[in-house]
Amino acid sequence: MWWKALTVILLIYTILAGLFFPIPTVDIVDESVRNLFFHVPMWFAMTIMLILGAVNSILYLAKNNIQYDINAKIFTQTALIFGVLGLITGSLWALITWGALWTNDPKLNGTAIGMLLYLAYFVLRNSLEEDSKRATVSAVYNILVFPIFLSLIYVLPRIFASLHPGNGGNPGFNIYDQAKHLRIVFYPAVIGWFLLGFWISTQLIRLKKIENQFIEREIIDINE
Amino acid sequence: MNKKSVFDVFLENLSNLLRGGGKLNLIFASILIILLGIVGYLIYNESRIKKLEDKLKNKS
Repeated sequence: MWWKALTVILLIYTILAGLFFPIPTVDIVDESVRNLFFHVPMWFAMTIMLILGAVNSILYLAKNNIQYDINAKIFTQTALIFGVLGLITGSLWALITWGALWTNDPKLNGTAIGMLLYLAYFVLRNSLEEDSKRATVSAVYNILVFPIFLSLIYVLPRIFASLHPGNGGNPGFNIYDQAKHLRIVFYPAVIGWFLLGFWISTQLIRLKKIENQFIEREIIDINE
Repeated sequence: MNKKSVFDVFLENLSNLLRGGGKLNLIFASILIILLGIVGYLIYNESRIKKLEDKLKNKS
């Protein structure tokens, strides 16, 4: 329970400190640097939840327990929500600093491809009716797509020319953050946004478990 | 001249906002309202799920 209270505290801190604390002066980026506390942590939260999804897919294949498949699906689902939020906040940031909502940046294009790959995961799941078959096929797909997604958004932009800070030879924000003004908000924000995603996921998992138990009970009641 | 502390800047920015901060005011209010809505729904859901779990426990 304590971590749920921590989530609320960290997120309120992120919003208040993120919007009102002092920030380093960075040309062009100016006040929009505050988006660092929203856009980047959302991506980190998404990545951690995708890791949890992939781990649960591996566990399903290893232990053949359907609960792991449900966990994998829900973690991936929540990760995608954070991905969309990351895209929206990123596009707004791009409009302010680069002058367009979408540019031909390898990270942006990689993200678009990656998100489509994960959307295909849900299409695949919905196309298979038998539970164990759907769980096995989608677990294999999830395990395969995860390293591709990581290389699309974290590896390729570092190899090719990218507009993103810290990618393609560009300096990251850490060189401007001499007084650590960004860091004291950024790290709590990463934890806060991840915990929010984890909270949403655990609730969805618990709800699914309850739903399954009710269905099981109904089947037993009907048979009796 | 003394350098402003983090808290001083915080108060300065907050008072600017409260005095009618234009765009930032709107952004701040929308983020806070959306976040409060999500957290409020999660807290409400928490008690709802607990009730359902207890109901299932009592039935078995």
